[in-house]
Amino acid sequence: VNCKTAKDLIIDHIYGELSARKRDQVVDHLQNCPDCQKMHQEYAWVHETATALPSPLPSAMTLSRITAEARDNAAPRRSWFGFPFLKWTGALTAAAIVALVAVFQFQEGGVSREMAVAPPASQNPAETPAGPEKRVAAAEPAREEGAALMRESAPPPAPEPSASESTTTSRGLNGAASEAPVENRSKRRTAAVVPSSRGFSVAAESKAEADRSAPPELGANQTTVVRNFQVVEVSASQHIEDGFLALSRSDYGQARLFFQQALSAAEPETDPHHRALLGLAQANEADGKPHDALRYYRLLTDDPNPHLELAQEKIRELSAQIN
Amino acid sequence: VPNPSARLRDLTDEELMSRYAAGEEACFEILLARHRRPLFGFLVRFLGRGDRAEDVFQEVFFEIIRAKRRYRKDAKFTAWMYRIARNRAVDRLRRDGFRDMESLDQSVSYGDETGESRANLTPSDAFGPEELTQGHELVQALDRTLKGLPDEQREVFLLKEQAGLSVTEIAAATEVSPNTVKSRLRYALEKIRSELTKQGFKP
Repeated sequence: VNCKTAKDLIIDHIYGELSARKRDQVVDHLQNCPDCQKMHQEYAWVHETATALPSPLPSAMTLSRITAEARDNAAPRRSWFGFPFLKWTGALTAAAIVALVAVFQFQEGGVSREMAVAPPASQNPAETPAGPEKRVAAAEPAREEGAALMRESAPPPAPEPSASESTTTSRGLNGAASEAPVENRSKRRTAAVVPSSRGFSVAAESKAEADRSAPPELGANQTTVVRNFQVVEVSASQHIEDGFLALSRSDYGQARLFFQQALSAAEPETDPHHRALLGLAQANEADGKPHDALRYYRLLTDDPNPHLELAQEKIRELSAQIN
Repeated sequence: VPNPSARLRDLTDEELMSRYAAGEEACFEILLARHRRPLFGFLVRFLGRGDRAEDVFQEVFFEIIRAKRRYRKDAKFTAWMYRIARNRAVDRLRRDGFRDMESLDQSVSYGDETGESRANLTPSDAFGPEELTQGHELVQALDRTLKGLPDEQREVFLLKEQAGLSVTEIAAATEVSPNTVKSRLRYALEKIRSELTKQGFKP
């Protein structure tokens, strides 16, 4: 190998991109050529320095947004309405039909007093009144499919849900399954229509997967289970988002509350469960509670998840800090 | 009993991406875990600011998620991902200019060695000047020197050093020939060396 070739190969050599034969030739040349040796030494020095540059990670908030987006897009979407616009209007129309059907069924069958409060004007679901009566109504055990559909198809109107509302929801979830009012608070939960053997039912599109995996002949209890599963998942994600927002405001106490709610709503070994643990660990760490933070980081290493590597690093770091 | 997650972790990027496109969400999480550090390392130093790097990092993965159906298994995932990242980052630099980056007369700080301590709260918190004291002087000097490199040299150098791509992969990501990549890399190494030597550092 002459100097010209060697100089050309020195970079490949430093970055380990040479075949064994070429590498030996370059090494041979370097031993006999002070000029090339100097060049090699200098470039290797820059490379070694660059290797020592710290490798940062993106914030947990960014990672959390990405995993949420990935989750929402994971299931192949098959809608009856191919275009977004049609999908939206179609869903609205279907919701109106469902509301109508429900109202007719109430008039026919023995419907509870509270449910009858819903006026026929609720053809447009956006106008459906939601208030204390609605909650009481939803708490009634499902007596017939009409009641179940009604609950499912009645999103609350415009008002922004407050923190206290989400607490109520969470409590409802942990308690009796059928008490959970269906919330339409997440922007990701666009309504979609899925066919069922008994007509239409309106479900959160992002969870259409859950509907497909459910048996085709849905009884009242099964519907509740499927529906309940949706509410649990959506609710946990929402709490997590709220938690990270609180964390970014340095409101650690509030952040812990949200993450705790998320943790109790999330199924073990799911992404929301892991993110809730991560949030709790970070809220405690930022709040100067390394012992608590350590505990949650350790919980994060119990099963495989994307934050595992990070948790292990933190455990090392915090353990060293505590001792 | 075989651990299903352990098996997933053994898959190549290309297999993971194809399986994510087919609906396996867990595969995406492994891809994200695998690439977040090198990709973010590249972005944060190419863009010179943590908040911009956060934005572009998110854009890149959102684009990957949206484009999943168009992904073909025979296309190299890293080259694809870094081509998206590089294009987005170059757009961002063009849009924002180099102003803010140059106005920082000290190196961008990235928290502690792990980059974690406060980096997980908010981007603005994570890159404050109080985090600066951590690094080695030489490493900080290198960080400053990087900002003085022309974009195309800094890009190639960081794709090599931070992202760990091969010359061929860099060529695919930046859409130039491998020879051009090598010559840019050589210019970058030479400029950094000379700048560091000027500042009194020696190999």
